[in-house]
Amino acid sequence: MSNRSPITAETIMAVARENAGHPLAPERAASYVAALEPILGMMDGIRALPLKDVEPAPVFRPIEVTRHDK
Amino acid sequence: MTSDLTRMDVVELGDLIAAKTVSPVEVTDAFLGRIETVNERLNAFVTMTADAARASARAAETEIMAGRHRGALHGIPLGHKDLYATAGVRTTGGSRVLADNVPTEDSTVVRRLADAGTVTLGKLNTHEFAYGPTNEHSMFGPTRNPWNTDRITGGSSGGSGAAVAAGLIPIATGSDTGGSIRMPAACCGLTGLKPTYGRVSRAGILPLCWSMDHAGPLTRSAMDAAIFLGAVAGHDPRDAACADRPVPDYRAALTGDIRGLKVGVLRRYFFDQAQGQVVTLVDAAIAELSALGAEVVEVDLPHIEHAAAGAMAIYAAEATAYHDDTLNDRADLFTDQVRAFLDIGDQILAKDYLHAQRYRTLLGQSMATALSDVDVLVSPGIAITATPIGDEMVDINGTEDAIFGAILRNTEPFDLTGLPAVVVPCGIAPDGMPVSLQIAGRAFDEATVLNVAHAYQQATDWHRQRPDI
Repeated sequence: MSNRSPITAETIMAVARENAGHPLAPERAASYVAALEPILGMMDGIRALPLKDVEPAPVFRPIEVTRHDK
Repeated sequence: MTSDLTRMDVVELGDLIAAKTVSPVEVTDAFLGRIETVNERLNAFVTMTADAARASARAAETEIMAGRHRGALHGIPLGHKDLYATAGVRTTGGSRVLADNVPTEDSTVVRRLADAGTVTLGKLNTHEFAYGPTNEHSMFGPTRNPWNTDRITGGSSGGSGAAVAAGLIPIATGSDTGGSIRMPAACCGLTGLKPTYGRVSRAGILPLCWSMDHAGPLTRSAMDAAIFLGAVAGHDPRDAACADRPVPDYRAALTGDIRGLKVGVLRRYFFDQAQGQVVTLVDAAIAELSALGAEVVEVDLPHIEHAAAGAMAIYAAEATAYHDDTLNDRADLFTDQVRAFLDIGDQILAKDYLHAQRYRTLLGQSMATALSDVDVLVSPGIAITATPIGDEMVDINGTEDAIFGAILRNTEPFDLTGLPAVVVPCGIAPDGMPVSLQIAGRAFDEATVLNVAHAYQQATDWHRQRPDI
């Protein structure tokens, strides 16, 4: 299980500004706290599932190509 | 005659056109006239291409009169969700970000439908960039439900739903990432098909979430959906996810015979949080399948309760990645709701996204296990009926629930797993709004899914009900 701490407006602003490059106004960040907390909580539920031997759904596909003059 | 044409489905119109009883020009004029009088109340069409439509209809008429009939879609009017690229015709995604976007090339589906002889009447409203299930948030304003114009159409293919339900067109394109074909079809009393992931090319359709986007139709019947699928399915090298598999003759597969077929009812999760008025009508529809000779059993899907979290992690991450540049430069052009979703995507960690993609595999295994014992899975299409425009919460059996979550609950599991799923109308609830049955099946087995829907529609007439507008 995750030991994620509850999210705060300051965290949202910091991630948006420093990691994602999208600065957010404090009031907008504050309004996202209520929406994000339950979403992140739901995602914690996924981490508790038996995923140990399960690969992610998208699988990398090498791009095949042949020489156009052959 | 003209008013009757707009109440017909594709099969009926196609038969009249093939018999030269009516011409594509008459059919096109009838629907353009209906749009002229009704669209203002619905806000379904956002761009009209009437002159080009009349030219296409005349060309179709000439071909048919000369004995060159292309098939069931020749001369049939339709509209395209404003997410589909249309060469020379504005394609906005319902967003001010693309207010002046005019593609130079058609999307693959638009091209294949044109090759089948369809007549495009215009572009249809969508929830901005398909990022929402209600169709309230678009640069053009909300789309209104023809069954009650104070109610949502469902989204994001809400313009498609309103237009087909109101008889502005007999068939429309849509796209489905969390349920965006099936939700408006359910809200508007239509048949809505999400084919298997990879069955239909998404090339030229604005993406919401690459790993979950599907293209498909909103129609008046399962047979019309089969005709549409036959015209557009098949490999396309322009879409890396598009499967290179044979395309069956779907129309021929719809025999209406489901005797001996095993139907699995998804009682847990799908019914548990559905409104009572929905459960009653869906149970009656399942009883009808039994009466038609199907064997009905109950089925459980382990891990289904995490579907909303898995879907949210995936589309939040992928959608924000797609819109990253715009979010940097012109974030103020998004509607508030879509901007909030995109901002939230910034907070999804890479490991959350990958856990969600691992969950998809797990859920896919659950469904594969179930479908190794039954032929199809059935549930309510959506858990609620269409809600009033502007509402954020809905009452479900005495408990207040968020509309976004409630409306997505039953459809998004099949976007996660990529399995084919269709919704068909199965009654009118006491609030006057349509209710639907969802039928899902094995990967690339749209034929069985559509045949169950067709059998139900042969035995009932809910799909023939029309709103009084």
